[in-house]
Amino acid sequence: MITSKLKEALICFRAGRVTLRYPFEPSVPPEGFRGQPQLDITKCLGCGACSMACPTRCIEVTNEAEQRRMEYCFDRCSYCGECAEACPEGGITMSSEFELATDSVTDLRTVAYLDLVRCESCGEVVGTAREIDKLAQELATKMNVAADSMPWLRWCARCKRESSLATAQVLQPAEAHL
Amino acid sequence: MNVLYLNLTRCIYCRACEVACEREHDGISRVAVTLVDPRQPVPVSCRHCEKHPCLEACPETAIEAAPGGAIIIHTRKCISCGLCVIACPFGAIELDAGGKIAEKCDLCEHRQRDGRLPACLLTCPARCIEYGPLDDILAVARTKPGATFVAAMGETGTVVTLPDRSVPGV
Repeated sequence: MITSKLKEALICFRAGRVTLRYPFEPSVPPEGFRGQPQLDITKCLGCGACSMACPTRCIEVTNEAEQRRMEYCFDRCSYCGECAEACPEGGITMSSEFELATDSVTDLRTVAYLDLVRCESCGEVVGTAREIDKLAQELATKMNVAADSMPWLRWCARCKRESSLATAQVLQPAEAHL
Repeated sequence: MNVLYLNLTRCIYCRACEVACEREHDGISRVAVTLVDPRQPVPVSCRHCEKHPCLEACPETAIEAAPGGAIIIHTRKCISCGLCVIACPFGAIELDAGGKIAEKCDLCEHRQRDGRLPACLLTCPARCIEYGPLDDILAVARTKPGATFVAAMGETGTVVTLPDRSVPGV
């Protein structure tokens, strides 16, 4: 009887400590763990793809007079990683940060303002200045045209339709196929 | 390669093409008949440009240049960033009502799979819209009075003839 108890005690001593010393030591989550999304606002174009992808509607995009307001409310975040997947610029990455307890819910919120571009003729919102600058550069290199030869990047869809014949004639002179 | 041909001398601004497009695409028209000046209505839809800024702008691979010449948006890959909407020179792409997915003319891909023509040109009572091989279309277009041009970026795409305003009654 007593020997069996001694055996048991021996087994327990041999095994050593089996619990983690967390929170006295940092805990390293396993690979692939999805923690808090990390935002790099310098990369954000303001396109709003993240807000469309987010199932818990953490990310709100609203247009103000001169600026686009991006509000990230990570207090509602479900750590699904859809925003990081959607972001065309890699501006959101999933970190392994999980110790998010805070006294104030606003600690988990970030607001960013990006400059808006409005249609040159009607004033309708076209996009953010970053989107348009990026497109102008990218299209110029990929299609081998001058970056300032695309005035329509600053027009809204309706005004583009209304001047579509003029645009077409500029792009393709009538003589080419007459 | 098949292209659309818009004979704008014929357009009567009835917007039947919009209705036909709505019928084919779940109630949302991808053609917008727009008055470009007080006298000229133009059915504006995707021009299926040879140099396609929308495809170049897409950060995913959601826009594809199909072998037949059509530019197709794969809606399942769309992340709704709206960059193609800004990049399109003609205002032919717009996000759907929920702002979720970019939509534009796909030349009735689903009808063409069954060997049928796009719905807009079958519906057009004025026969303003035609569809066929680029060379045939250009041969027809050159016989029309007024200005003829490929109304797209690059050498292929939608061919347009404008009415000859110098001739009375045309």
